[in-house]
Amino acid sequence: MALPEEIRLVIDAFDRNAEVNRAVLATLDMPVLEYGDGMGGYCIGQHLADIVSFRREKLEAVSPEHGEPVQDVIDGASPTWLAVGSIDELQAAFDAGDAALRDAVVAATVEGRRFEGLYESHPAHLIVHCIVHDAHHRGQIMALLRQSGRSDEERERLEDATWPVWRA
Amino acid sequence: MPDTWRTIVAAALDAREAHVTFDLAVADLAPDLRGVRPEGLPHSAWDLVEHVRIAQGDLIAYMEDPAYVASAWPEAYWPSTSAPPSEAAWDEAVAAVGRGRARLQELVLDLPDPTATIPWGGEHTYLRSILVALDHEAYHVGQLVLVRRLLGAWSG
Repeated sequence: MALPEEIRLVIDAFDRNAEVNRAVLATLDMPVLEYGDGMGGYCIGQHLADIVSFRREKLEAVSPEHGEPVQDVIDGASPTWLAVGSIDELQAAFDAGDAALRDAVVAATVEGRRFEGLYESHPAHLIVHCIVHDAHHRGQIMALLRQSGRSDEERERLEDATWPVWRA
Repeated sequence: MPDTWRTIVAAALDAREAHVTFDLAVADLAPDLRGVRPEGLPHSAWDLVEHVRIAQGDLIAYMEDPAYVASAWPEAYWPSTSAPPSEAAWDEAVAAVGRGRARLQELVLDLPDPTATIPWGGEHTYLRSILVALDHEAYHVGQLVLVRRLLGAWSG
């Protein structure tokens, strides 16, 4: 069956979510990943590790053929929980996870197939969950970037590159 | 599973799956901390609560009011003071966010076709706007958690 319009719109929101994540990552360097609130919360890298690992972990549960090819970039022993040498490498992991997640949901939907174990009511539930989960962590990343001493100019440039993605 | 997606989006609006809901993020925050902006951050909990309330109301108006006119950004979307004018104002803002969320849930569940474009909204659909509200609330709930942690008022 063709992809229903409501699922196409959900995937469109997921693609915008990916674009916003890309804009955030484009402003980062490796040292800032270790910046944290000093109060026991995640540092920026740990927030990103939580976000990027979400994709692979959920896919391994519901669609292993999509999840297993996605590179595992998590190292629990690292201060940032990330096993990447550059922001570009991290972005590549996001891209691969996003593409695999989208492919898994589209394939299940057009085949009229349900996931088993998680997101059983509709495959698109996985994408909606991913959007909400990303936003929760991204809000904290953006606030931590402010606290880390980013200039107003840098902050405004990043905001100009993110919220308009949703409004467009 | 034709209409189960509506239920999924409606349930996601309370961000339960994003670790923390709005209601949990504001629960039991001491009144004297509601207006405090942690060092290095531009927003207090009140700033964030009011911003969520205003932006959510704006999105609902956008979907429901043919005469909708966007307010001036950013000044109209943030409170003028970092602290709530009263405890009642805090309680009312929190309650209003709950009512707004309930209205968004009604829209996604009850609209004949949430994938339709909003007649005065260009290419924007109702579902698209509801998903923006979902993302926006979850984003700022994350920030509420961070503000509370920096104030030493988060045990979640």
